[in-house]
Amino acid sequence: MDCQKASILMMEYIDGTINESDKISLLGHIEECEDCNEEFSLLVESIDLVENMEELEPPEDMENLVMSSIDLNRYSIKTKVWNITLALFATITIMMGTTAYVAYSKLGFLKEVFIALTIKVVNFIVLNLPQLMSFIDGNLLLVFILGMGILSILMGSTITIAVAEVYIIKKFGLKLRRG
Amino acid sequence: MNEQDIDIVKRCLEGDGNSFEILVTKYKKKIYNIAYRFTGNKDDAMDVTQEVFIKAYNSLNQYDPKYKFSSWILKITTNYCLDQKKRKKVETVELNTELDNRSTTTSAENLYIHKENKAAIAKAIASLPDKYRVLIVLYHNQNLSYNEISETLKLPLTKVKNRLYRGRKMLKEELENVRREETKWTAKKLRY
Ligand SMILES: [Zn+2]
Repeated sequence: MDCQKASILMMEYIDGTINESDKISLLGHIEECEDCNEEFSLLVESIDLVENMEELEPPEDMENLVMSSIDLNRYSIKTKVWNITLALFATITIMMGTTAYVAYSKLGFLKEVFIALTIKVVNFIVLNLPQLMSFIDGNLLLVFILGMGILSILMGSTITIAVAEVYIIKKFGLKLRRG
Repeated sequence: MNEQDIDIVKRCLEGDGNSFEILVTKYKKKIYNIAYRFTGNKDDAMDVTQEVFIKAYNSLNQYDPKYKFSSWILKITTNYCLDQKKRKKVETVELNTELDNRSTTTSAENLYIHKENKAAIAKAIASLPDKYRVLIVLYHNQNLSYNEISETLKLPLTKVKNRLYRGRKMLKEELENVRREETKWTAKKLRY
């Protein structure tokens, strides 16, 4: 056996996965080879020391420390209902925004694009509600920011589109489609 | 009496936050000891343990029951310890000051050797690079299996094995180094 092989067998010896015949040849090699002998005894000693290292007792009041710094109601029904309410609020905001836009808009084709987009977004929210809920679970702030973010994007795009419409109408003298 | 971890997690997620205390009691020792091996002092180990539990509680809804809860929470522990170290850039961990003298041996000489060994191995572990130390501590001190470590650290089994082999050799060398230095130091002290 060469020292390379012996080194691998030493690891199996420590793991306790070495088979009988390998064990015999490893111990045989160790008796003859001084380097491996030293390596083996030191290795076994180090591992033995680690395995017998004293375990410290954690402080007595660990439970109290943890329990007093977590929000015990984080996963309560109340919190969940609140989350769902906020998510619904965000969805309703989007729909109301769209309705308002559609009511005041003058250009038909942009209107359709906008409605299509809104349907897609609302659809996505409804279809993925469970995943979305678990993602935002307990994080009211995140829900609020998301809702506000969507609202501002909506308002921003409404204004942009309205301005663009006026520009396009003036520039190309398009006829307005009333209705 | 012995409730499954998953049942406790479920109860917490159903709104019974107080159940979490059972998990704290069950895992505090493991986490505290791993944290101690990383931070090198009891105060920091306690802070880490507390933080880990808070993190675990706050992300309980992301726990995948496909894996063992112990693997999941130990993953949070090791990640937190490694991040913390990167942020703080703590280099040398001084452990000898906190080793207590509890021992069953009566002979003074034995006691001395025992104490020396304890200090030496603590130093040797502290000087290992993180990625090897975490394996040595999890496998040899916390008795996790290869599979559990692979799950905890999200490392393939072969990598766990190779790193552990490397880690053992490094540990052995570190122990030699620590002892060599100590002999030098003792010899120097004796001369004066
Ligand atoms: Zn050899």
